[in-house]
Amino acid sequence: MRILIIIPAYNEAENISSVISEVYSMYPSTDLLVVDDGSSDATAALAESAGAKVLRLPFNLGYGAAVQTGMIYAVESGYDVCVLLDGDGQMDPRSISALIDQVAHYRVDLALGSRFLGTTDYTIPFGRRIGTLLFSKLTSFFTRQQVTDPTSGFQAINRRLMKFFARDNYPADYPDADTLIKLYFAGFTMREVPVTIRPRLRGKSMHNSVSSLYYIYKMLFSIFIALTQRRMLADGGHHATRNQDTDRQCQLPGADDDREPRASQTAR
Amino acid sequence: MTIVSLVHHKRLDEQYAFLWLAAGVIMLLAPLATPLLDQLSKALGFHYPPAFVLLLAFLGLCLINLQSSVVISRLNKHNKQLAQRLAIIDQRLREMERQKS
Repeated sequence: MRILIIIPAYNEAENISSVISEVYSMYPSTDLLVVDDGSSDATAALAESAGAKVLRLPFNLGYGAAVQTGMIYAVESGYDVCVLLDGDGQMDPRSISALIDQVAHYRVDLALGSRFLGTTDYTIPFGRRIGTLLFSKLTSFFTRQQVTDPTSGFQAINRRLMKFFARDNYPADYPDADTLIKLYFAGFTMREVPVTIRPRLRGKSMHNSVSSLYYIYKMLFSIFIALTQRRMLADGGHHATRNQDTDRQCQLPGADDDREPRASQTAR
Repeated sequence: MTIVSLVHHKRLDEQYAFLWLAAGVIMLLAPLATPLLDQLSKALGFHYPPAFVLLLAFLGLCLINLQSSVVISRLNKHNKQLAQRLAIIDQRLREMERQKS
């Protein structure tokens, strides 16, 4: 099984090297891909010298779009599973194997790392806690299962779901409750896994710049949209493909075939 | 005139000029239809006919604005896809060059 660890990073020069070396020290044989989301600092260069593959986005597209870029790459390069890990070092790489385990052995499409099920030694700001609680209740209600931490960016995703996300089904900013509800409607399965989240090593959190009121509005609106798309999603998640231009992207030769990209890689 | 000139200098696509041209033509022709507009606004229950005309103008501008937003969203998406594709191709190229050297 080929596993790719995707680390979206925006101006994480302070943390990226230590995150990469920590991951490599625990999982020396897995591939690591850093998606540099148009950083203005040396994130990409540092990641490269630390031994990771690096995708450099020409300008800042947003967290979700960066992750999606990584998933498009993973699908086209023939990876079976990808793990999303933030570049700030808050997520303990030790939890990666538990996430992969769910996807690899229990046939779950998405393993979602929850900081509430796991151990955490940092306190979540009050405002965000309220928001998280609201969306966790909403997600739990619509997906008919307990979801404690829908905001989690610590995930393992299998190939089938990566393809779904590589199409148009991934928001450019922050994938959250709406994305989970969407994938549930489209017939994918998910399970929460306890993970360890640590205090931030250095630098500012990416969430500080997001106005939380706007965020709540955006999330409620996109959950509403997901509800209106329910039937289309249930028909195979092809609602995005009515736009031919978006579909072209994932119909590149080999993108839909598991073997071909691997063959072409070895040929190179 | 401004619209035609913008299209002429290729700073505005014919496609997007349509609504603006339509708005211009309506504005030009509206005074000729004053009696008709008066009657129509009375029939619809407007006590003050110019209010009806302003409402129509407002709705027209809203329509043009909405079209712009739709176009921006589409361009935004295409822009994102191009950037993503560029990043992937860039990585592959680097990898190939590294393997060569």
